Order: sequence, then C-alpha cells, then structure tokens
Amino acid sequence: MFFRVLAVIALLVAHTRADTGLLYSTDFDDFPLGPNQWSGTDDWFGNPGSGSLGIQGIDENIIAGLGKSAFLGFNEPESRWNYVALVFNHDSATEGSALIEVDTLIGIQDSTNGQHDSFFVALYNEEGSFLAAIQFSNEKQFYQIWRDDGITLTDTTVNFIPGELQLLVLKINLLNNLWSAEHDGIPLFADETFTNSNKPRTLGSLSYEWQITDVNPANHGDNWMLVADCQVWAVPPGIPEIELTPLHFSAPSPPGFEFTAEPGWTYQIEYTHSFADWNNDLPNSTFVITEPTQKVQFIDPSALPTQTRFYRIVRSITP
Amino acid sequence: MKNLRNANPLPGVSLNNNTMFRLLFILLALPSLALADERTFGNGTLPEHLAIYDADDSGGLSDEELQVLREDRTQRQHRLRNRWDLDRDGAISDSEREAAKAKIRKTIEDRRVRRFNEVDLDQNGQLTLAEFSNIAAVTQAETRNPGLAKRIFSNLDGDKNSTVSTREFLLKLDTLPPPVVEAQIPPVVHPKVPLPAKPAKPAKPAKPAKPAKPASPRR
Repeated sequence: MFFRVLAVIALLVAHTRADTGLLYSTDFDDFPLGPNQWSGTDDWFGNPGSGSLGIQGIDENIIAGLGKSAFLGFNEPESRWNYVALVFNHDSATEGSALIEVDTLIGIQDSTNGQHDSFFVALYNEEGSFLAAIQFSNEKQFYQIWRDDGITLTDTTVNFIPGELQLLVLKINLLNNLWSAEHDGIPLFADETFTNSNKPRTLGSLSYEWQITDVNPANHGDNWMLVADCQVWAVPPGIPEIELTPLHFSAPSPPGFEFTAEPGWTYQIEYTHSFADWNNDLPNSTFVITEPTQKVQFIDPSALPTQTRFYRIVRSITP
Repeated sequence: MKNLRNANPLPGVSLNNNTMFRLLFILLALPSLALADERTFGNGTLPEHLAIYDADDSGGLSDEELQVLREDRTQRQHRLRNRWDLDRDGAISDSEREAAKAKIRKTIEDRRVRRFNEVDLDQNGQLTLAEFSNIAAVTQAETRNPGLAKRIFSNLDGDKNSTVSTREFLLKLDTLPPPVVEAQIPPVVHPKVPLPAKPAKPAKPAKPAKPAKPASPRR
C-alpha cells in the first residue's frame, strides 16, 4: 500500500536576528560635510590622528552630480598607515551566512608631488587581526591591483585607471576560506585562498587604508582614495535541493527525505494535514547544523498509510 | 621573472633600486606641471556606467537616482561585466580578460601621451630639459637630489639631440620590463585594527526605500 503522503516542501527562512542580508549600505549624503567627518560618523572609525589632520572626510560633488562621497589621503598624515574602518562582527559559523559580498565604488586619484602610495580595501576578523586585502598600488608599477592573503602579495595583473570610479566586488566564503573579486567587471581572481593568516575567519571589520610608501609620513603622496559607496551583504545559503527517500513512499517504508544543510542554521521539519496548522512535534525533527554542507536525513515513522501529510522545512538562524 | 624591482639600473642613473624605481614612476606617471593645492578627482564628471542612472539628464544624480543605483547592484555588476563579455556567454574567458586588461593599459597609455602633451608647453612634440624640469614632481626630486632631472632626461633622450620626443618617451615605456606576472612578494604588515571600545555593532535595519524613479538605465 502506498502512503498517501505528498511531501510538499516549502522552505521558510525565519531570521531570528537581522544578521543576514544587507549588513551595511553607505549613504554618505547623510554624513556631515568636510574634512575629518568620515571617521566618527555612522560608526566608522579611524586610526589615532586621522580625525584631525584632514586626511579623511566627506566631499560634495567632487565628481559633478555624485553627491557626497568619502576621501582618504592627500594631506600629510602622522603615521604611515592610515585607515577608516567599520565594525561588523559577523561570524558566519554562528550567524548562518557563509558568503560575504562587498560592493564598493572607489577610485584612486594619482599624485602630483612625485610620491606614490598604496591603498587597500582590507578585511579584519573580530579580534582585529588582518585577514586579507585588495591592494591598489599607486607605488608599484603601472597602477597594479594585488591580492594580499596575509602572507603573500599576488599580482592580479589587472590595472586600475587612476582618476576613475570603478566598482570592486568581493565575494568571500569565510567557511571555505575562498574568495573571488571583480574590478569593473574584470575578474581579478576566482576561488583563491582568502587568508593564509591562520586567524579566525570572521568578518570583524572592513577597512579602507592608505599606506605611505616612504618611511617618513611627511613624504606622502598627494594621492587619495575616493569611496562613493559601500554595501556589505551576508548572503544566506540558497534553498537546498530536497530528495525524497524513497521516491515513492510505500509501506512498510515510512516517508522521508534528505537535503543539504548549512552551518549556523537550525532546520525544523513540520507537517500538516490541512494547511490550517503546522506541527513541529515529530521525533528527531530538529537539526542544528555545525558543519558545512551537512546531509540531513529525515524519516517520519509516525505517518499513517491512510493519511495525507504535507511537510515543510523551516530554516532559522541557530540562536 | 624580471620586474621593476629586479630590473637592471638604467645606464647613466646610478641610484639605488628604490630611488630609481620611484623616479621611473615619476616619469611614467608624468604628473602635471603644478602640484595640486586642492583635491580634484579625474575629470570631475560621472563615468559612463554611472551617468546612465541620470534619467532626467540633469548632469547629476538626484537622491532618487542614487537610490536606484544602489538598488541596481546586480544589474550594475552585470552591465560592467558585459562590456568585456564579447561572445555574450555570460562569463569572462581568459582571452576576454586579456583583452580587457589590454584596453585598460591602452587607456592609461593614452592618458600618459595626453599628459606628455600638456607638459610639452610649446606643443612641438619634443620635451626640452626646461619643460621636463618644470614638472612639479621632477622639481621636487631635483631639490632633494640635485642633477637628477638632467640624468633622467639624458636617459630618456635616446638620440641625444637634447630633447625627448613622444616616441622616445613611449619607447622608454615600451622597453621597461613588463609588469610582474603572478609575482608573489611579502605584503606590508597590516597592524591589528584596534576596535573601538563598544559592543558589537547592532545590525542596521534596512533603510526604507526612497521613492524610486521607474526606469533606471537609459542605455
């Protein structure tokens, strides 16, 4: 006898915390205008000294019609290494989003004073340790873009055009320690090791940085970085494919199915007979996932052969 | 592989590698005559991939148009990628990537020629030592290192006629070692970011969408 079980699987995503999806989107139009106004606004922070030297701030219409944008560089800094950063403290392993995507519209304006520096879009973990970066080298040859994994610096062989706004897109899989990047639509690299630093892989902060080439910060280039916008996304895993086991439920085998689940998420199997109420009281129907791409098998021994039963999987972030 | 870090010094220029490297770059970048006393960016106009969001042709992006731009994230990426995806198969092949890189290098080189022409004050296609020394960066370098401008100039002046032509300048560019390919070098050390003394940043709720204009890109 066949079970009259129709396994309708509706996957619902219930976010218990708003830590997936869009983590941050700049709106520099809300920032106060002027030097020293980037760091200190909307939770952005900079290195000591950066808040008073005019090395960072907010411009208006530096590109006609662009509205407000941020800058880093140009004026004399106190130190060789200068940054403006934003804290996320997002742990993929516990918050359910292994994939981080950064979209940022940036440009480097070249120097006129013969000194040339480097700029970075860098990622740090929750401890503040450096993980990886994209380096825009205005100092090394030919406006080159480099990939920094914390141990080695690798030439992407792609140039940036100084004085042009270009879109940098980073896709980082923190669990698998891989990342890909595009610059104005050109792949910089794909599925390369994200960090070799052996530090915990969490998204602690995103940092825009200016590294003075000369050992004396007074010999800085008057080059600078324009940041027009920045969006950071924590992309939840896609809807898993669900396989019924067996394909035709037949007595004496109870109905069941399996699917691939992602860490940071809890999967609850629910059922209904009428769609009026969903029940979650099946034995062994809650799956807390801690390992990447974990196979989950579920069997419902309580299903009656004469009863139509519908199932759904509710996915929620593990508290 | 040879690169600018391990290249042989140019004849007539007896400087350590770091200094030579920096000076070469001064020439490659050929900065404008004057030092910037205030910040400007590029030519100050919206690039094409942003100008398409200027739906009302106002010359700038209104709040609503900026909002459309932000919300158009995926399409914006695709549009940029499609510029290089010549066979329209949705992916950038190795050859398409090389073509894209070449186009960008050509853009950079064209700009260098333009800047050469800016420095060539009498527009005769030849840089004199005086014109060359007028470049702010060269002036600064000369101040720090007297005689340097003349030494670099002589090196560029291949036919020794006391002027540097565009051809000589570009020839010098062409004969420079090629960019590093897949080089791996130790990176600069990124110190720890001292996190601000406050609890973790709470996730921001999505901002309410501003009323968006209907059609975004015109082209």
